[in-house]
Parts: sequence; structure tokens; C-alpha cells
Amino acid sequence: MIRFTNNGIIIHGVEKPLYSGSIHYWRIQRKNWSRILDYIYDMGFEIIETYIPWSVHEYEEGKYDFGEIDCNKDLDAFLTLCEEKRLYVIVRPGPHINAEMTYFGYPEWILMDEEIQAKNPWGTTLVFPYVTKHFPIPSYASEKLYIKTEAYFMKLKPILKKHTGENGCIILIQADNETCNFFRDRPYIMDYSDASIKLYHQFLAEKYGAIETLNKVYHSTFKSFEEIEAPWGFKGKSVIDLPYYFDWVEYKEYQILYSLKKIVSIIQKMDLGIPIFHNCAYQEYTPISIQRNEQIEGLDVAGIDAYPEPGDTKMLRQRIRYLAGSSRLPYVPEFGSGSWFDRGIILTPEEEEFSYLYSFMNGLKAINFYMLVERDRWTGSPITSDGRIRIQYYDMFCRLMKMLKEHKIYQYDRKPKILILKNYDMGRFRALYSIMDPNILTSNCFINGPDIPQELLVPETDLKLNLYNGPGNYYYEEWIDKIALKLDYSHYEYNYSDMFLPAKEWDEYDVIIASTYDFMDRKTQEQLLNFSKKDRKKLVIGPYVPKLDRDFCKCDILKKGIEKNNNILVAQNAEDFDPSKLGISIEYICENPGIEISIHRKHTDPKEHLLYIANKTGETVNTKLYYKVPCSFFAIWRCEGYQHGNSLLINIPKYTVQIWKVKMEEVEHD
Amino acid sequence: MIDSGLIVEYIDPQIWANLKTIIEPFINRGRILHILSDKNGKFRGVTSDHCVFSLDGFTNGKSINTQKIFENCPDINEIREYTLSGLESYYRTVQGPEVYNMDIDDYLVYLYDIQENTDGIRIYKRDGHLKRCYMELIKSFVRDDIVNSIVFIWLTDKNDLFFNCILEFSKGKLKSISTHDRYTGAEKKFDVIYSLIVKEYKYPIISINMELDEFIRKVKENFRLKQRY
Repeated sequence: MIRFTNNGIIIHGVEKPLYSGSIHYWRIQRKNWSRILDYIYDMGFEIIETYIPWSVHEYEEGKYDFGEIDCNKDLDAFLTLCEEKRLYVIVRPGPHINAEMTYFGYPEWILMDEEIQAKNPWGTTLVFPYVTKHFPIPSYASEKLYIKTEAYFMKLKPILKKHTGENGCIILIQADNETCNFFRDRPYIMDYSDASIKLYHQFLAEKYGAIETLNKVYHSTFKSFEEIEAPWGFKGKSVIDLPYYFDWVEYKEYQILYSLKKIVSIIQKMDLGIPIFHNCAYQEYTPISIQRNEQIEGLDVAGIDAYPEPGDTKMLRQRIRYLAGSSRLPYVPEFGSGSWFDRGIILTPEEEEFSYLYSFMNGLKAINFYMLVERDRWTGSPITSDGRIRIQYYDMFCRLMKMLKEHKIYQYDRKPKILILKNYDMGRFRALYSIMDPNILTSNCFINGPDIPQELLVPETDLKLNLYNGPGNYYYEEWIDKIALKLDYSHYEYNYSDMFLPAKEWDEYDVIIASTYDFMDRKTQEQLLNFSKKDRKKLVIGPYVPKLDRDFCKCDILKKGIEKNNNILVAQNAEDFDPSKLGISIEYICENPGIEISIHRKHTDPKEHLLYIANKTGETVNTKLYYKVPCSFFAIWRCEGYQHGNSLLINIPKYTVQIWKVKMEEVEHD
Repeated sequence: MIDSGLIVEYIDPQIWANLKTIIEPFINRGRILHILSDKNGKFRGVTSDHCVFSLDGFTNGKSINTQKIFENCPDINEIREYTLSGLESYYRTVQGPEVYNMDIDDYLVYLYDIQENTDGIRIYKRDGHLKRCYMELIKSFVRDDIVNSIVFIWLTDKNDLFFNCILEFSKGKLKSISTHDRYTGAEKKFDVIYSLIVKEYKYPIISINMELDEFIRKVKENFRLKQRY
């Protein structure tokens, strides 16, 4: 029996941290497999991860190679060797792979099948400009794609099944990979294929039930759902036109969920008896929602991948805290270890260490290092494809894994008292508000197409709404960023999520800060109001108070609630927001805003916690942290400093995370 | 030119971290002003670095005074003016089924060709001879001289190794990319690696061995490395 927990994974009765690393067996000479797996084990890993690419194993339609022709493709032998080495394996059969493969792991004959291709609004295909060959993007609505995928998965089934169960090495399987329309987030780029339009109509029918209901919302006179044409750019004149465009954006989300459900159901037919998970590419906004991914029957956990740049904290803080606030298990199924060859960025071992530990500090629980072994089109990993070690990366991983395991870091929890709820509908609005969305024909540093800045295509319609439509991508909200900055400055910890987080989970927090504009759906308004009415809870909203629902009909539930309820603060101006009024106590006082602090606790021992300190700046910092009760500090990781009374005086180099174990003489009480 | 089965292996991460520095001089050729126009003579402008560009004072009735923009904005090297119907036509054409027969580098050049020849799109260049796409520059270098060859690039920064790569061309196609890392344990010196390449490959070797500053200066002047080295 294998299952995810809040901390990691239980494998046949034993809970383990989910720390793994990637290796691509078919890209390594078979004679080197054994030595490379030994190196991985020696670094401290018990779990590896591998793709099983369709194009590699079904080299021509109906012709398969599982080692019969090319011994490097002997999946069964590879899995058997992993069992001999006592390594567990996570498998990722796709069908979407990427892995810097030409055609992203799909067989060429699949992509060139017209019944499988997605379409742009003008009836031709969608080019994905990969560095070795451009190819047509497949449609998630194509039934044929799933029929063919199932045929491939059923070929895998006997091999995979052999390696599951009590003595098998396979512990997890991933459903698809980064299902996000090949990073085409903007709504009007695709998919206008016949299959997709049919699915769009199905979505509308499911949402509204009867065409009359839709007509009421759209102010239209359609006779059937099939009559409705998909928009390929915003041409609205007033707010009453908005629901039609919102529905197209929602359909894009629906199409992705539909695709994932299809892949999960195919995996379930393989009857492997192991948990299924998914990795989102990078999105925490439309068309992706990890909470809704996790509501798919059979899909246990959804994570988000992360490829930070050197010294990055902004993206990681946001992404990991979003995972911590939204997912069952904050998991990064691909955390960059090395880089693809045409990225133009490769992190040093020190930079990688900072990004990993900074993520653990912000709530990361489970991680797969992608890649532990270099291969075609990838460099900067601790082991090379021919079985050498890159000593600096290798040493870093050895030390890191030793510390993580020795101190059982995965058993500690970060429990912030503040939750920031981003406004998912504002992202949807920012997505739909575009004259047209041309495909992107540039990728990484070698492929430089003549792309058009999106700002050129923003409509100038006056919708007479208070909303945010400033610069930046549509996940960005200025009000949220300014509020978060204020919290950061004063060392308040918080998580992120959005309206898809079930309201019962909001109760874990004392304060919710939610961005609100002129419109907000009735259910979310009610949930926010209910939260504010609970004992010792506070709600902060802003910059506007909603007066309309998502169909743009009058709905002022929150507005009325504010008049009767002292627990709701309206921060119209984020600059005026004062975190000290939230009534949340800060455990450590540190006057240096360049230092970030996080406290992780183990529920079994209230007198002990881990103190993470990060220097997010490019300079060495000497500073003092003051703790309110008598305690003792013990060094765990990169600790330079000393204790003076209840204070800790530290010297922390640039972009470094320190970890201290703190033992209190008395249990503190809030 | 770029083979779809391109193999990229033995990439030294420390050396490859400098890739952007090497590529940038090929690509960075000033700002581009994008203009959207409608049939009523209404215009809006945004530059390639995502800044809104006011066209006040640069229009003559229903047309744009591109000459005046070039005179007043020395950092703008190219102006692209689109109508919505021109863009629709362009994106329909460049994503048609026939494009999948091309190599990716040919496809990139094709994108620029079609853009210049689509009704409803007009391209104005400060320098009429300016290459539009850096891939054109590389292709012009490759196409003439390189059929079956190894291109060995070795760049130093104040005598310290900064970047190197070994590019294998076969029948005019780029088949593999690697670095000195393919020769495990070999001394990181140009002559040593050069002699190992000679031993391994049967193809003629075109080598470029210079200081980084000189390389960048020459790329920026004009990409004519083949005539000089």
C-alpha cells in the first residue's frame, strides 16, 4: 500500500520524505546504468524518477522497442536493476513529455495526424517553435489522441505491473506532464479545432443546463448551444458582454481538466495500484488550478515545477507559498538541477542550494530534482551521462541530503496565520481582455521569432468597472504585491491561494487577506463574510468592495457585511495597510528587511522548532534576532553566529539559508 | 541547417553558463516599434521592450511618418506596422501544413519573409540592409563554407577560458554540439582540444580562437568571421 501524506509518502507502512531525482535510462548507455544508480544512492537518494517516452518505444506506428533493438530502451531491465539497487521509481509515461525531445516525446505520426492537431482561430495549426524542429501542437479535445495514448499505455502495462506491489520498485505515476496547452496561456491562441468547439459547447451545456439560462446571462437569443461561436478576441462594448468571454476562458480551464481526467482514467485502466499525481508547469492562474486538479477523481496530488534563476526569491516565495496554501502536499515534481542547453542560464551548486533550501523554508515538502543525471540537451547535474561525477554539484547534494534526512526536516511544519487569497477572476478578466492573441514564435535563446508585444493588443473599451488592468501578466495584482511587501517587511509569514481552496481549509488561518474589485461571485463573497464572522478571525479586503456578481448583476453581500461586522478591514490603499493591526504576534524580531525568517514546528514536540534565516541580498549581513522566551540555539546548516541571552547574532553570507534548531525552556503560549 | 536529431552532449556547465553572452551580440540590434493601425487612421505603438510609444506628432493624417520616428528615436532600428487583417493573414499562413517540411532555422527566416510580404503589414528599417533574423547571419556564414566540417570556437577572457564549443556539420546540417568536456581529463587548452578533435573527426576543422572582447566587437561590426579566420 502506497499513499501520499502531508509530509511525504507512506510506502508499505513506512512514511518517507518524497525526495527524488531524474534519470533518463534510454539516454544513457546501458553499461553505465549500474554505476550511475550507485552514485545516486550514494548521494542519499532512495527514489528516482524517469519518463517513459512514447516516441522512444513506439518508433513506428504499431512497432515497439523495449530493448529488443536498442538495449538502452530495455525498461524492464532498468526497473529490475533499480529493484536490485533498492531504489524506488516514479514513472512518467506522458503522453506529453518535453524533456527537450524533438516532438516532446510524441511520435511524429501522432503530431502530423490532422485529426489530432489543435487549430488557431484562422483554421491552420499551432506551431510550437522548438529549437531542433517546430511541430504542430496537439488538441486536448481530440478523441483520437486518447485512443492512441491508451494503446501505448496498454503496451506499457505488463512491464509496469511487474514492478509494482510489495516487491516492485514503482511507487508513483504521473498523469501527463505540464498539461497547459504547451505554455500557450492566452485564451485566444487556441484551440478552434472541430473537436475543441464541440467540447466548448459541451462545457456550456454542463454549466448552464438549458440555453434559456445562458441567454439570460448573455442577454442573447441563441436557440441551442451549438449556435454559439467561440470568441477569438474581445469585442465587447459593456459589462453585460463579459460573461460570454469569461466562459471562453473558463472553457480553456475545463479543457485542461478534461484532458487530465482522460489521462487519469487511462492510467486507472492499467490497474497499477499506486497513487497518481500531476505537475503543472508554472501557472497559479487561469487556465490552471491545482486545487481543481486535486479534485479529479484518482488524481492525488498536483504540484508545480520550478526553474529559478540565480538568487531568485520572488518567484519561489510566491510559488512555494501558493503550493503550501493550496495543495495537499507542497510538491515540486521538477525542481531545476542543471538546465536545458538553450536556456542561457545554469546555476552554480551554491545557487542551487540556496533555491532548494529557500523553498523548504517557504513550505516545500516534496521535491524531485530534475535532472540528477545529465543527458542529451541537458547539463549542470551532479552526474554525467557517461557516469562521471561533477564534484561540486555532487558534494552539494551529498551534504544537503544528509542534513535533510538526519534532522528529519520533512516532519516539521510551517504554519502561517495569514492567508492571501488572490483574485482568480481578475486573472481571467485580464486574460479575456485582448483584441487577439497571436501564437508565440520565440523560445529560449536560439529561437527568435518576430513576436508582437501583447500590450499592443489591449482593448480600449471603457467598461466602467473598478478593476486592475495595469502592466504585467494577468497573474499579477498590484494590490496583492504591495500588501505582501508590507508583510514581508515586518516578517509576517503567510500563504497564498485563491477562491478554489475549499472554505473549510480557510479556518487554519486567523487572517484572510483577499483582493476584491467591483465584481466577485456570490459564493466567494458569502464564504469571505462567513469567515469574518467566526471567533478570532479577521478579513482584509481591497482595493474595492464588490457590488456585482460574476454575471454582473447586483451583489453586495460583502458591502453589507462590512457595515455590520468589525472583523472586516477594507484596505483601499495598500500603502496604508498596517499589519500590526491584524493582531498576529511575531515570534522573532529582526530589524533587517533583507533577512527572511521562518519557523517550522513538529507537532510532537512543542518545545522545539527549526528557525530558518535567509539572506535574500547580494551582500553579507550581520544582524540580530531577538526571541521572546528563554531558549537555546543549535546549529544545523551554515550557521555562523552566537547566542547572547535571548538574542541570536548572526553573520550570513549573500544568498544563504541558515537553519538553527531552537529549544525553549518553557512551552510558549500565544 | 539544424538537424531535428541534433545531439547536444558533453556540455561543461561552467562554460555553458556563458552562452547568453555569446548569443546576445547576434540578437540585440536595437528596439523595434510595433504599430497597430485601423482603417480609421487610428494608431497605437508599443516598443519591443513593452513600453507604450506615443505617436503624437508622428502621423500625417492616415499614415505614419516613419522617417521622423527614425530621426527622433535613434534607438529604434525597425518599425512594424500592422492591421488586424494583416496579422490574421500572417498567422494563418505561417502556421499552414507546409511549414513542417522546413528546418527550424529556415522556418525562422520564412517568418520574417512572410511578414514582409503580407498585405496589411509594413516593415520599415533604418538600415535597408539590416538582417532581420540572426539566424540569417549564421546561415549565411554556414551555407557557403560548411558542408562536412567541424567548427571549433574557443573564446578566452583575459586568457582564461570563457567559452568553447564543437559544432559538427554533416551534409550542411548541424548534427551535434559539445564542448571540451567530451575529452575527459584533457588539459583545457586550445591546442590540446584541437588535436583531439583532429584525431576524432574526419572532417576539416574551422577554428575560431580569440579573446571575448574581440569576438563581440567583430560580431557587432559585421558577421564575417569566415573571411578572416
